[in-house]
Amino acid sequence: MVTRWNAGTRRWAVWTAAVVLAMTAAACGGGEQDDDAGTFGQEGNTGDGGNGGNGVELTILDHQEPRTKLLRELLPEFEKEMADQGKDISVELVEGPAPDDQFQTKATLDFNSGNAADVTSAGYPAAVEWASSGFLLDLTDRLEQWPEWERFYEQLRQNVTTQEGQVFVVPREASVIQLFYRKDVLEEHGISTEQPPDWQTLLDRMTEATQAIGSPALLIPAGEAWGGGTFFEGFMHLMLATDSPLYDEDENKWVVRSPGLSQVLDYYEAMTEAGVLPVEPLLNPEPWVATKYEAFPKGELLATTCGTWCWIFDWGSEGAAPIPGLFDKVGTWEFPSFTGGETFVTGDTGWVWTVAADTEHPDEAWELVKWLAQGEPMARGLVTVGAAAPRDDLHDVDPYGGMDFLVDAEQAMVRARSFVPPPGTDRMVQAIGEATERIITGDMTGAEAADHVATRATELLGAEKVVEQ
Amino acid sequence: MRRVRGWRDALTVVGFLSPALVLVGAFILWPAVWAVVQSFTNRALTGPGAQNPSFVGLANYQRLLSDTGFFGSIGRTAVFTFTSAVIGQTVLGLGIAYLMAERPLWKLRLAPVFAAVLILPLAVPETVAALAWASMANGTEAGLINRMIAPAGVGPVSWLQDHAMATVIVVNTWRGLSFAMVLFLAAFESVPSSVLEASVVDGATPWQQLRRVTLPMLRRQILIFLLLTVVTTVGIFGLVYFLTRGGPGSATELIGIYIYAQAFQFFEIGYGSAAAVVLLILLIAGGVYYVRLMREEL
Repeated sequence: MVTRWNAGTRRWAVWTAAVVLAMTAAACGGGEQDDDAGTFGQEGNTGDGGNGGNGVELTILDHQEPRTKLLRELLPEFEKEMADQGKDISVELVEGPAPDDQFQTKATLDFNSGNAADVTSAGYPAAVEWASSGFLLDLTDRLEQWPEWERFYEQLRQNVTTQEGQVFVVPREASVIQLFYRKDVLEEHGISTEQPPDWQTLLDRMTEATQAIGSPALLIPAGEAWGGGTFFEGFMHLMLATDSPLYDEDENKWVVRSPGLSQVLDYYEAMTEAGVLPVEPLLNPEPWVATKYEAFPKGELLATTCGTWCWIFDWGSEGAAPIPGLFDKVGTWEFPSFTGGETFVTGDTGWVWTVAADTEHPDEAWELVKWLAQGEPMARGLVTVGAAAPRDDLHDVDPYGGMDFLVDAEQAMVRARSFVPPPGTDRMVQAIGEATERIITGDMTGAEAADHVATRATELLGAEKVVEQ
Repeated sequence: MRRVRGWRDALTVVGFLSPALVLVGAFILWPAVWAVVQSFTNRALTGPGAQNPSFVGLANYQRLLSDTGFFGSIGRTAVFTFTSAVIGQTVLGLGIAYLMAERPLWKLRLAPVFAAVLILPLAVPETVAALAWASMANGTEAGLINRMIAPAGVGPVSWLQDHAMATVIVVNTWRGLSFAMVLFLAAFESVPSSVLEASVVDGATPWQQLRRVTLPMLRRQILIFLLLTVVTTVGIFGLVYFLTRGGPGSATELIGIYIYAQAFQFFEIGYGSAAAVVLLILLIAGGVYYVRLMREEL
């Protein structure tokens, strides 16, 4: 049966449709864009912002609550300082995902799509990949004209300079990594807390500790779950302790097989056989949680590689897993050598500031980077994450100057060993992650893992980019 | 239905279909074509492949053939799909729907209440479901599942470490049961009661009625559901990623997570696209087989 619309029904339908259309048109019509006040977390754009047409709106991308919280405090100060200089610059903070690997993925996708923030904070290895991909602004000339650049440590300035003499980043911190150990628990079990002179002594001591406490005592990151951490916080310290290079700078090729590499992978095998490594957590997502955030504070893990950030970011009173009486309970060892040489710390460029190559405001972005990379803004950033200064003139700048353990770490930089990640590092990270995972799961011996690294790295990097020694 | 006659009719048909065609083309067809194109390049998100991607022919596919990780993920996906989709969702869904359907001489009490409870997983977003299960399956004594089994003297069990694949199978089964139940319940309700009554008159037992009368009449609906659930399960990503990230090790690295890792962790778009294309081909082959089976029903 067909229902016919009477005049009344037809009138209601027409009026309803008209109202809906009018509301839709109003909603879709152009309205005022929200200014940057209260716009944290929203994607910005690199075009002219809503500042009357003369001002510049920059976007800055960073992640992790302590860093972004600090930026929320710092950015208004920068804007005010620029205003006092007659420059109308506003900055919108874009907050990325907290995990480093997801943050790197997001930033990389942003660069590829042309939607990158004007200024991006990044781990230096990621910045290397971006620079080699043409995503970053060449800062070489600007740095040469900046007198403050000379205050950055020579080693770090060299580390961030490409072979062509270009610089694409400004270090925001120095990364100093050593072995952290629970001196209270070791002393309680009568185990020596002296600096291990070699890796075998460390292994023997940790084997004894494992038997004493009933749980794996030593954490050297391994496996794929830890991502870049396996390479930069674990494998690399062992590799630097050998005489073999991982990258041949003369030939610009990765060394995918060498006596040193085999030595390192054999050491992973030895640690696995001795039962000193916490294998199960290493195979699971966020392996640092069960190990550094849970087992180490409880005294169920007695030694781990870590950087200065652990004093604040991990185990500090406001860190992820506070340890009461931290400086009484935790001490540091330097890394031993395989070849009987001096012990050392690993010192590298930590996180850096980068400027997008396609930014519409390179001068203003450079002003922001310079401002963040000096004096009190940098000092506050270093204390926030627990990093050593990448420059030599912050010892008396509060709050950094009051952190003796950070200043001490900074001064250890002069005799630190380092690895400057060249392009392709992420592929080597993958090969090492796979190899170490196969060792700790018992699927491969150290020698077999060495074969795997050679094969896999060649496959990932290309035969023309690798060499064997 | 009136046949289309002339260009005016054809234009009208196209006009009404065009919004859907545009959406399908833009969000399904074009990305698939683009993925196929990318699979023949060395396109990457970083490095030389980002600046100047170049045609590499079948190099990505040749590399896939020697990639044990790829074949491992395919195998794990097959196991996951068979256990959670075919056996878990389909068989259990059929069983639950059968219990809840109205039949001559028998009706489940409080069926609407059970239906409301069983439909809840459909209302929960995939990510929320995964995170909720991750909390429940926590391997410590605080995990909900461990607290439930503790009185029996069992545990605590590290579900997501020691039994990761079994756990994700259970979670995916739970998640798909609702849809299976709804679909099969409607199918059971569509069986003419006269047919069922006739079988009762002929002396058929409930089991004979189910096996010889009801299930054959539902064959088409079962095939349709199998097709849908197999396709969606093979391509699953979010549920497993937020539960285990493919771990421990690669124990739950299904093909969706493998492709994500290649494309967005190692930034190898070309290689990830090649893996995705191979998956697409496998799914198309499976889909064609299902369609032929269903056509035989006509």
